[in-house]
Amino acid sequence: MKASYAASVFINCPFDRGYRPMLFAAAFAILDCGYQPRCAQEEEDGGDVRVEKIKRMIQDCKFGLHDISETELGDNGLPRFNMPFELGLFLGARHFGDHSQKGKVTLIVDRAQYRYQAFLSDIAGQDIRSHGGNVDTLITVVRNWLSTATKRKTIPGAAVIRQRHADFTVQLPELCAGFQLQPVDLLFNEYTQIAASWLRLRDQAAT
Amino acid sequence: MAKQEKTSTRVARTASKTLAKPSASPTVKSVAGSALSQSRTGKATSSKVATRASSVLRDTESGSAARSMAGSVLTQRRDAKTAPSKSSPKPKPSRSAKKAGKKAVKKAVKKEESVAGAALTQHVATRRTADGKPVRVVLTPYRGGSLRRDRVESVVSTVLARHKKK
Repeated sequence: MKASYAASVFINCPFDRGYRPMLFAAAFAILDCGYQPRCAQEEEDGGDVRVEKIKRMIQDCKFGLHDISETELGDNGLPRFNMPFELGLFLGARHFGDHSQKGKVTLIVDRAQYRYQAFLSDIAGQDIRSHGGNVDTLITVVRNWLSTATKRKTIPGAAVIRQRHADFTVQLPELCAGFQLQPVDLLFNEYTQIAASWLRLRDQAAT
Repeated sequence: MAKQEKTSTRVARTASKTLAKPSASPTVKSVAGSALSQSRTGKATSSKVATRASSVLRDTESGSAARSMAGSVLTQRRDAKTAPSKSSPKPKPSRSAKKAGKKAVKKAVKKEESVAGAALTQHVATRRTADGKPVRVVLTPYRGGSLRRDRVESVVSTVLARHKKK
């Protein structure tokens, strides 16, 4: 189900297996803050032009989380520029879009604080956060960003989200076993579906 | 001389749909009923319905369907003047009137779209507990995976209960 524009967060990050725990942690933190994570992986339609799908998603989301940490040379000696490209699209929508698009809020994260200056110096002056490749740091950064960017008073503290994420990660193999799945094979949609359900039922049990 | 005009098929179809719509207002329904009754007979619009049709046209919130029905009904009122002959020059609507009409139709369409969209959209919501404490709401993911929703709920409940016992 689609969330309203103001409740949608676009995640622009690498999709390789090595980055997966980071992607899922970011999605978990977004869900726990009461927002809806959106990612190009949620739609797998071979007939859809990829960039069109991304543009549509960017238009639907007020918030954009951009991780440019994997912008590095691949096996073929060429850099991967998908993340900076999508970041450019997002910033372009904010600059040239209508009234609602101008209210877009961006978070740019990288492995190290000033690494971007070597390959994307045009974004100098923007606030780039570093997660150091650490899941807990990324959760904290995402939570603090959403909390600062909005006036919502119901966003849990970073420590609470980190603890819930740790609990969920411990229970994930058991949850996956219920669907005859392995945690490493989980797709983005499956992860968010299970995580949202887990958070909701946990809240209900607590009240 | 009373007019012998009839409601067009297009407007009659719109009127029939409006009458079947539970959300349509009584005023619009009465205009629709009048328009429909004039689709096959030589009946004329009563002054009562003509007043209602006029109010629909004046209301800026009215949708395009309601406006076209009201217009049709008004041309068929008892005291309506006969249509001008083809030789006489047709009065052109002013630019501002055209602009106002277009604006009203655009507004009505936008309103209808937002009402339809709202039913399919999850908004930023904060629920309150019985003691007035605000709590955040976990939104349903945009696209569920291949997993059945009830199955997910049941597996998650079981695992949560097991861990609570521990």
